[in-house]
Amino acid sequence: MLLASYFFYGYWKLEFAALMAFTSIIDWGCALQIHTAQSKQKALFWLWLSILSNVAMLFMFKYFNFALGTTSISQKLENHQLTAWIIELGKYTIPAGISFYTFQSLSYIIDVYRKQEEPERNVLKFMLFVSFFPQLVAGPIERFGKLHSQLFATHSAKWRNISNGLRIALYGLFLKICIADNLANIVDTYYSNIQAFGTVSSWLAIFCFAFQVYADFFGYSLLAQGSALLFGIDLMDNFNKPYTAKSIPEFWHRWHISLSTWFKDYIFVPVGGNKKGPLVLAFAVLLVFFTSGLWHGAATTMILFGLTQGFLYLFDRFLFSKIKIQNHLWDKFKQLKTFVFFMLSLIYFRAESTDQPSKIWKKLWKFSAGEIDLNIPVYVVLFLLIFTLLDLYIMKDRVDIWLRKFQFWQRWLMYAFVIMAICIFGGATLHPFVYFQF
Amino acid sequence: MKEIVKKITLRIVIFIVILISAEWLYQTFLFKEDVKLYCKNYFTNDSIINNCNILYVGESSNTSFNPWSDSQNYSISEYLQLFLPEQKVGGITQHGYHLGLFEKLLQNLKKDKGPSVVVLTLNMRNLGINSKFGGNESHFQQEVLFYNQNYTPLMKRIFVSFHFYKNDNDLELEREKVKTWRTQYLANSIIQSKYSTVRQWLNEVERKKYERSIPAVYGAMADAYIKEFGFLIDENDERLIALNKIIERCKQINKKLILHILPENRDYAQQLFGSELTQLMDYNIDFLQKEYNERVELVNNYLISNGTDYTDQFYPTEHYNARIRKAIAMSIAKKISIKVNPNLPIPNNQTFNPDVKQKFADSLWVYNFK
Repeated sequence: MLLASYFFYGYWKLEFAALMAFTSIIDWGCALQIHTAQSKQKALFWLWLSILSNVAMLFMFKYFNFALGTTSISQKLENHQLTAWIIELGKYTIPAGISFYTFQSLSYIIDVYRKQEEPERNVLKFMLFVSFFPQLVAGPIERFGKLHSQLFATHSAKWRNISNGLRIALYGLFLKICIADNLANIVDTYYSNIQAFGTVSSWLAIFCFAFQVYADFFGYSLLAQGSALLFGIDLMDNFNKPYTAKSIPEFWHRWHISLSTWFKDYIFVPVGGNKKGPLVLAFAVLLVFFTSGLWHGAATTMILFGLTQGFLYLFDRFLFSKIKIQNHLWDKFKQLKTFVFFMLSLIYFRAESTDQPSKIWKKLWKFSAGEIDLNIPVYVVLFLLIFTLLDLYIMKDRVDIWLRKFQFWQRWLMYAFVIMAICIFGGATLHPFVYFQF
Repeated sequence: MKEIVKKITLRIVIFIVILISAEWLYQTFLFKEDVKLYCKNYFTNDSIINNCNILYVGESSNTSFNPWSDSQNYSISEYLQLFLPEQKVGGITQHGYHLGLFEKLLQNLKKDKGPSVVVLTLNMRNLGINSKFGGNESHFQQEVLFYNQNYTPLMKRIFVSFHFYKNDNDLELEREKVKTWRTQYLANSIIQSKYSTVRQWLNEVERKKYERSIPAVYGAMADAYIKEFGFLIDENDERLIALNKIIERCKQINKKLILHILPENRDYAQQLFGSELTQLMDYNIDFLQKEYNERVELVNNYLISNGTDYTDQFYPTEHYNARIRKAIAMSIAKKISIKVNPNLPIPNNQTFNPDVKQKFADSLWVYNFK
């Protein structure tokens, strides 16, 4: 499995597989040192060594060019063989999933320091925990305790695992190929020429992006879950109907759950969480979302995205939650409000430059007809409708469990529809998974 | 175990039935529309291939003209038709295409149908780094999937959806380009360049720009010439391997192949860098001449142009004025009549027949060739 995982990653770029091996070995060594350290200071030293080496790697490959910008230093560094090699690696391609596996590794080292986990003594086993290929490049970010025990348990091929895994993966593929990729074409058309579009198209574009990013990331998470299940490994659910959330705090309990819980356990709670009064809570929330923005990407717009989420979180937590109305309609309104808030904040997430969001805001709120309109193919509308109905109203359980309710022929009718849709209506323009870049 | 095998077999059978149904549905109702969408020129090219006896395969050099000086806007293939009035010349113009893509496109050639002569243009710049990692490459690779005769329509569509072709994104292409400029040496057993790599050369130009010893207007032009022509080819070049496949295929299906080397703006390269850049260009052309002279009918027009014959004066392209387009057509027509079909009269200005197409009937000008 370790070889397969490294082959999977190294096939794309061998240098990055070597980088992952290097950081894994450092973390493995540091964890052992922490465990055997005679004093707290020594343990703390090894903990910080590991944290700093991980952060340094992240900085070098993800934030270095963001920090350098287009300064003359950057140009000078490009003229030297070694630094040019690093800049080329970092400038033009970020190691896929570096933020994911770094966070997974960090959670292990902190848990060992907190004595919540025993360190792994076999370096190869630890390397597999970091590199397990289904969740390597875009999560979910698993914890050592849960994944490790499954990875090294004895597995035998089970029909149930295989069929459930394939069902989950098929649904994930449908979300990615038929929904996310087709919506991406529409969104890209809008973003490539914002000035030409009017208010209606602008609303449509940001609506489409909200579903593109959801279908894309949820689709990947399902593919990861499905393929892991083929090997008998049950990965955590990374999404739980986020667009039904009634507030932003609830939304972040349902969206990218593995990252949200990571931030909760390793930043929010240690900083003080909600136990030390509203000021500390506000600080902890803003710190978490600032870090989350930075985690998502080395760009000012990503930091703005994170901070927007932070302020919306505080708004819901301190103000909106005070309104106590027990009413079905009010609940629906809250759901809609949360969705619209998130959808609007995604303008920063998708922006290609810092001035782009303000252009879009103007388009959204100042009515204009636009020279051209966005065109959404009928089949995309149909797919989106099916997904929305299933996700919001029909599918109460995970897809594999939900499918068990149906008879054999009913299930296969659905599979036939999905397989044909994937084969015939997939988006033609290449759109790598949105979260691959993180 | 038996139970599992039974289950799997049943599901595989159903899966195959689904795929066959999807293939039928797609082929019957949607394929043609998709071809129009993803491979715009497919049907036009197919019709040209099947309705001519001389096929001219080119890129933008075929149809580009100089809007300021050209009184005649005929493409090279149209001139060729005018020189060979008894023949039916078909011209395929695929902007930005290179040998690797032409190799896929020409898979549509049939043994007993279509042209007996194929004229293939070879643009030296297309063997260079800038072209190999060009931004349109992924789009083109997707387009030529539709010419592949080994795939069924549904397979082609699945490959489009799953991006099962060379599909590097812009950043990856840029990275490869920068890396190659930094690591590929501008030297071999014959050539020794003053600069060991393109990167080093570009740095030198950058320094000169900073010192203002290169006028600002020529700065970008100098960069472009180095990036486009700063390379040395060898027999392992992926695009020459594609050319070899075309040669093989043409042999197999009895088509006479004429390989035509396009003129390059050597004049301006000389003016910008003296012999530093032209020695690389000349080496590359010599290499091609030696490599292919015996294997195909070769027409080498590398040296027929002056710097002012090019429409783009500040960037190296193969967009010529009418004088050069006509000269190219003439040289190809001569090659066809001498080497391929001796029954044809050797073309000259007298055989040039502007009445061959109604739209050419008002041709009044005469030009003396070099």
